[in-house]
Amino acid sequence: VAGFDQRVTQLPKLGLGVSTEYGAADAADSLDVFRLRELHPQFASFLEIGVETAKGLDDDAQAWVERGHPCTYHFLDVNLDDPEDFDSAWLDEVRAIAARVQPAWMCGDAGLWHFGRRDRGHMLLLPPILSVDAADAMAEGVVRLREETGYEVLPENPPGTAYVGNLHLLDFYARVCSGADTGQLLDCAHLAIYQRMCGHEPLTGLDGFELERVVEIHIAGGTPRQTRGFAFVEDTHTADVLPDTWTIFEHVAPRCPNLKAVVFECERNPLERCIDGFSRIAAVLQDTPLSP
Amino acid sequence: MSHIATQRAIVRMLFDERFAGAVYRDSDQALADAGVSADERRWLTAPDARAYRTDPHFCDRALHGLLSEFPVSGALALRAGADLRRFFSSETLHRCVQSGGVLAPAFGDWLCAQRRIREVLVKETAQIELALAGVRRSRGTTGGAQCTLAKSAALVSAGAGVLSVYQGIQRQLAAHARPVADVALDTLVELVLKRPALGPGERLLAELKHDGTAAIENLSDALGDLLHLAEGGCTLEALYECARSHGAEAGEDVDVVDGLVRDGLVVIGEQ
Repeated sequence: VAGFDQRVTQLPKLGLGVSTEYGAADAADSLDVFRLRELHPQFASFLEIGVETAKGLDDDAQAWVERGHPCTYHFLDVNLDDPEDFDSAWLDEVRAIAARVQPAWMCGDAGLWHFGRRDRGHMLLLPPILSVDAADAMAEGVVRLREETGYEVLPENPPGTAYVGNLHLLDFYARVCSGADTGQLLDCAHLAIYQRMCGHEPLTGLDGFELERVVEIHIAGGTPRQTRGFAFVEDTHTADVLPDTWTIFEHVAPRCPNLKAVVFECERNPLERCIDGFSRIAAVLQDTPLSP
Repeated sequence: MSHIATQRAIVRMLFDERFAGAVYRDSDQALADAGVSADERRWLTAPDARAYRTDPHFCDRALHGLLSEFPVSGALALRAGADLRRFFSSETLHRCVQSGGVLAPAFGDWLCAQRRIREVLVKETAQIELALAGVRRSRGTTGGAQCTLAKSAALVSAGAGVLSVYQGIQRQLAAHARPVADVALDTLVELVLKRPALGPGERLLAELKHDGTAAIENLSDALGDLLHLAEGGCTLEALYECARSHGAEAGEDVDVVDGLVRDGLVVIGEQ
């Protein structure tokens, strides 16, 4: 089997795109991805489709796929660090959906998507336990999903407020990527949240992370909140990207030789609110492998 | 795999603030049987305790999800003054989450066991909804005996007229242009409860239909006896004999049992 450094050369360059998940387009003032592609095709080169197999694809995702536009498959329902989560019924559904959408690769938050078995009412999203054991188990899960589906599987650092474990988040995912010999989906907004929660500077830990592993980057807005005097950032996917997120993105993007895709996660905002963010991202990408 | 036990402990802390407090005070004691290592127990309390409390709607969303499966019993319990959020600090919840169990049946079991709820119909209707929750999650095949009840079916014993009351409340909840769980939670929506007359109990069938919906219906004595027999595992001959005891002629007994198999209610296993 070819190593990551060879396999990554076979992955297509998708450019700058947007994300969606089931029903996201139904909300008032949500992003019309088709209008975006018509008016600003350079901002909608591909669609990252968030998939929970129990829900399948919504009308917009199906329409995108039927038009033959590029897409990626973002899973929303697998705990990669739990070997019992790869039941055959779920894998069959994943393969069937992937066969329909023909994604460039699979990716998704590598954390806890559900407690106990996959069941209605069990869904949530928490960061993984940041330990060596959990990283090794997650690496095995990445390999398993890659082998079961035939697609590259890129783990993404998820958002959170309570991070538990003795590894820095970037060290954790460096171990996952190395163990699975895979690429990383680096979510700059999630990383900024983590750094702030842990009292780190935005770029802490990046010196120990192989940026050659970064295949995809996410950018999104967040909302500072407080509860009982405790300050945190909620990953709200607004169009207002926080300064720490820009700092990370602007540092990382030009240093990722294998960067293939960037997503501005703004699916619940009207198009006009998102243009400034897209434009700033596009300007940064001028100095990256994604330069037109 | 103790990281999975640790994740489950986190979920319990999110559900139950008092439990989270106990973990912070003495994690060795609070997590004694959870399978969480000493290091992991220490890591759990390293973040600011308020970091676990940033989602004020965590339990409310879970309750809303549960009431989508227990709308009738939940609505009746709430209107009888019950505090259903107590479920999230119950031993049942903690055991379920830590063992990787399924929340909906655990909630149904908890609801049935609540002695503080004086409305007797809560338990009766919860048993119906518990059976429906069970068949919604039916998977795999039955094995062992020659004939068995399909996993997509479950028998429920109910008091006289309970199904009629259940369906009446269900209709009232569905009459609003909102999800039934919303209506169940909204105690300002009054429900008309027609108490059933005393009479013999009823046997009901909860069944997962081909379209994925779960339905409940009354069973005739004959069908009830046949499915009860299959529920415990039996031979084909025993089913034929049961059909004959309810008046089936020779040949009709086979047709009756074939019909149950065709309808997916009875599964014929290894001979």
